[in-house]
Amino acid sequence: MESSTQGRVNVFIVEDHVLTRESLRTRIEAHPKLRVGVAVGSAADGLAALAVARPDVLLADLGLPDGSGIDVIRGAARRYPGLPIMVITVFGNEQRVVGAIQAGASGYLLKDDPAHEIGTAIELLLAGGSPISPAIARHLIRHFQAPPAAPETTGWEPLSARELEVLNLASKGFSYAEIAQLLGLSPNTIASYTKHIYVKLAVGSRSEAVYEALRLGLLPTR
Amino acid sequence: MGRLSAKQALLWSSALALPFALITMLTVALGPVPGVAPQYLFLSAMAVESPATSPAELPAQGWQTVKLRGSIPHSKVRPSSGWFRITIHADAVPDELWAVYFARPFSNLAVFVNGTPVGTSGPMTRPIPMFRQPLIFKFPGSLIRPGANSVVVRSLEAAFLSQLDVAVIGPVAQIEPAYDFEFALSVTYKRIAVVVLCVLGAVFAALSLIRRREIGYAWFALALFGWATHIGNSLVPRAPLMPEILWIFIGSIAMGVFAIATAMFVNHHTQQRQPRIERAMLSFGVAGAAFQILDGLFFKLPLSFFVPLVWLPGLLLVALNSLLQLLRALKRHPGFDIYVLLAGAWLLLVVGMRDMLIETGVLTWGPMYMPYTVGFTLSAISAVLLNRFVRAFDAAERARDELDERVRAKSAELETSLVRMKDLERERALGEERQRILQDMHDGLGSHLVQALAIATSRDALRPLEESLRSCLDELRLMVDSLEPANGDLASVLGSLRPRISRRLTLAGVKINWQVGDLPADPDLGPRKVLDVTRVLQEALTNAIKHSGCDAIAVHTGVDAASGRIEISVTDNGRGMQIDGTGHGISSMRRRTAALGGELTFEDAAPGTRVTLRLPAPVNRNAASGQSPDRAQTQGNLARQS
Repeated sequence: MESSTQGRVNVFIVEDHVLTRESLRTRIEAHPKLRVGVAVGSAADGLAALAVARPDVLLADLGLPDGSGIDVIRGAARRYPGLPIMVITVFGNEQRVVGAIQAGASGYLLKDDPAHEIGTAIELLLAGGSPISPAIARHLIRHFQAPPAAPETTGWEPLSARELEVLNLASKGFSYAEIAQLLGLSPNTIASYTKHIYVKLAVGSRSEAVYEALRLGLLPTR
Repeated sequence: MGRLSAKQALLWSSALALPFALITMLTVALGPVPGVAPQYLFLSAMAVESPATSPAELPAQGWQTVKLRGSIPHSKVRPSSGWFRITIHADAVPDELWAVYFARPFSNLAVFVNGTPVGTSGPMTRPIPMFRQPLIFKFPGSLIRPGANSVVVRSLEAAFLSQLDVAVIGPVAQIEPAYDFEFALSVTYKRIAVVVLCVLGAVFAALSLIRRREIGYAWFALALFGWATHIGNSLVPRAPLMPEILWIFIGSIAMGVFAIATAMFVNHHTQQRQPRIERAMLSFGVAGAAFQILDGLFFKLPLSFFVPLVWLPGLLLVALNSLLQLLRALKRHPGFDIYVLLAGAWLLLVVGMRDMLIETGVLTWGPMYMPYTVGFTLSAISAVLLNRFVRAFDAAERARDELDERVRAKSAELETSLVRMKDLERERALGEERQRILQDMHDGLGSHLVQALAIATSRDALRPLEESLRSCLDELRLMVDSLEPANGDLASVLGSLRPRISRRLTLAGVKINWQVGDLPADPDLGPRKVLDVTRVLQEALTNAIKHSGCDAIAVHTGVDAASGRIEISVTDNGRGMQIDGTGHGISSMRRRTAALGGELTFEDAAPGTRVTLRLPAPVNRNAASGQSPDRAQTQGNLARQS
């Protein structure tokens, strides 16, 4: 609504440190097509704002004073399926980012990334691609190669040979463009591969969660 | 299951009948005493029953002609004493030694030549029941008169069986070889056989005690003892302890024990039990034995018909059943032991039937083959069974050894996994601790640095702080990255380094040519090693960016084909550095390289400089997974997996 009226992409930030939040706002809005619609500092405020309006992009920190940003991401993903979400992090280290991806995020931004990188990453996200870092790629390879925790779940779809190849190159530090060149494919194709991988991961973790809940007796069995 | 077709039945019965016919024809052809010329054989005699003890007391009346080997008429007189008179004619008084010879006498004998006693087989006051030893009575030729001579033989028997064997009378030189042969055959052989059978019987009895499940061995032991008794009985010259009458029946009862125990053994051994037939056989055996004993002790009925007409045919049926059982077993699960048993049973049946014809008087008096056949057969079967038993023991021993080995292996495995579990547990605790520290760094140190950076960039007065804050953040990120599980993948460690340096490269306007390929897995790639490698490379890159004035840097990985060493090079296209290897950055690089056990070289790349880090070839520890020679190493491995 807002995005259509103003012709700019509405970005929603959940970050508890005021200075960082404002710095991010400045860097995001340095991009001519981006606008920060809402910038809040707690999980509760984030979820409340999400209930009011759908943003075009959600950026969420994880360590919030009243809870985990994971909950915000999960709530947003459930309310607005397909919403591009990125986690904001200091290190971009595996443990934090993978949890966020399983909750529905499609990538991460470093809190001190320069403006142009933030702009590029959001553009890629809006175009349907998912940025992927070497550490995340390495984690995904390991994740998909390990036997599934819940053998009964049907949602566990293994990676295709091509997807594995893309992850392998990404883990070695190659960029989208380089991977595309090495594999003789277009960067868009690579972007859709990574998107696909994230979907598989999220679906897999959802069925694992269901299995786990059934096992613990948290869900009624029929 | 094991039903025989008509054709097979015909085949098997002819296999039984043909040898039977052959052996019978052979017996007839050999004559009653093989090896003795016909003129010395006497097949009939005059006989009378009399309690007289010397020829002089014999009555003149009551003599009748009898065929020798037959019984004289039944008598209530016990012990019975039969007298036989054979008349021989001589032309002249012979010079040499003569003899009266009985190959298989059934009784105690006393011999008189023309009224002169020439010998007895034993004390004639106490009858011997089943003594079957060849007897030879030698006497000087001078006892023979020209013309008719009387050879009188007194036969003392326990019951109604008084009978005399075919008599051989002639020169010792003509007779003695046959006697010697017969003695070896019936006495020496039987003595050996009794000993062997008793020993085997004891062995199998012991086996059946050791292996209670194999009750079949007990039956086989009983069969062996039965037959030992049967032949041993004929070696006893005097009847001790018991009423003599019982000794007569011991032989036939022992034969029954042998036949029925063998049948039971066959059923157990082939696992083809026949509850009803077995009950019938055992009842028949017990009733038959009891009947013979009771009759001998109390009723004293003239029961000469019982043994040949009821007892022996009954046992023959038992043997026939065993033969059929063995044939069934052969069809179901052929084995060497079954073949031997079958051959033995078949032989015994043929010989037994033939011997029975002699016993019942159908055939002319001849040697009994049964004692010999049985001895050999039982020995052969014993050998087979013992062999089987020993093999079973061997198999058990092997199985036990195997089990021991497996238990040992399993314990070792358990121990290893216990160690592993402990390591994992420790590692899990370490991992959790690391996670907590990372969390703190992220929310604390990291966040404050980012905020400080935000402040520094927003105020011009603080701008000079920006670069050192960024360095702090970069430093912190390298450390955090080194704590991520590397899984032995050095290429992905380099991959993680790339985004960390991209900002500096972009700012400096330097392009990077990223040539990182697959590298061999390094199981020893722990946080320490990761940090050392990334620091060295970061330093090399920083130097190139800061000092070389380059606009492109190539990062290349490779493996030295000869040494297996991993090579990572950073090559710039700058003006060539004046590196003397003494600067602070350089010395730090060298120190870290030394800690890695690697080698660092700087060379002129014309244009530019190439810095190459060579790392030792990763140790392939796949082979040595079972034992854990180095606990620290194992921990290092596991650290990376959490």
